[in-house]
Amino acid sequence: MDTPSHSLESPYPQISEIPDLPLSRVLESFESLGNNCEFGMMQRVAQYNPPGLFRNVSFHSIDALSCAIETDFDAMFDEGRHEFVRVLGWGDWRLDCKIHGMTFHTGIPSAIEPDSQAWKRKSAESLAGHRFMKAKLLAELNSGEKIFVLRFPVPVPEDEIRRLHAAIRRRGPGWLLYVVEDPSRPLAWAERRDDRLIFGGMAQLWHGLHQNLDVDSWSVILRAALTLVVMDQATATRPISNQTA
Amino acid sequence: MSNNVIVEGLTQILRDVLEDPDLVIPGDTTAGAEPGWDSMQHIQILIAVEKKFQVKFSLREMDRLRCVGDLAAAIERHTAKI
Repeated sequence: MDTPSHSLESPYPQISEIPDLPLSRVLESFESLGNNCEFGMMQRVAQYNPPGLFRNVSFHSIDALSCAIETDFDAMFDEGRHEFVRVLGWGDWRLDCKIHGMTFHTGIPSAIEPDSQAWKRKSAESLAGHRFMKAKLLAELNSGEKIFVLRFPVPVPEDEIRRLHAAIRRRGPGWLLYVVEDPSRPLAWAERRDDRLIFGGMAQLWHGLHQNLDVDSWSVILRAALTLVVMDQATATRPISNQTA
Repeated sequence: MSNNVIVEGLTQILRDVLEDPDLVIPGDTTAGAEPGWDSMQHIQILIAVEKKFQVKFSLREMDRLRCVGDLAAAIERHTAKI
């Protein structure tokens, strides 16, 4: 598959636009790295549904994600390296990547019987779609035109986040926004921690269907992170004479 | 490529992917708004559009193709260059 191309104009809005930008437009600057469907649900709430490999993903460790990026998602969705699984309680079939230990929603109704004509067509389409999204994500990592967002349901050692950040930075100039659950601070926040690394926090992440998605907190974090990125770009592109004035 | 040809081809793709042979979709219909048109179907639609119209969307274009009208306009832009 060909790698999608990208243009050279700035991918980000003007800093003055960010506070009033519709959430769906804010979301254009971000790409989900998982983990679980929370960010994808955010996109759906904002009526913004771009194709994204990690919109509907689950994996058990950040290191698995780092390793996948470090190896260009090697063999992901290759023949013999994946399996479709019917999961009790799921409305759709699950696609398991045996190499990187990740599982994906497919949208194939679980009622469809394997080996039926419908199954053959839909499983082939699903694989093609996942391969398409894998190529798209690799191209996005290379272009670095996105802020890659990771949320994880449990606390993660910072060195794991830094390994992921390094994996992203080795591929391109992209940013990593890592969002944690932080009940110690009632208001959502985002802070720059390192070059192209932002940490964000909100009182409660989304853990399941029994709970409401905190769209307002996500909106605060995303706008703050986008502001940090745009400010950084403005500084980086400002003429030297202005910087020293 | 004329707008009629694009709309006709696009309609057929949407009918095939969304499995509704009688589907008529207004130009402002977005992914997520039409029943069955979720992010998974959206990918199938993009793949089918690229194949049928022999076009290649850029990353940014792909992320901004929100509705049928966006898709039609993008196809028109690309095919006009040929």
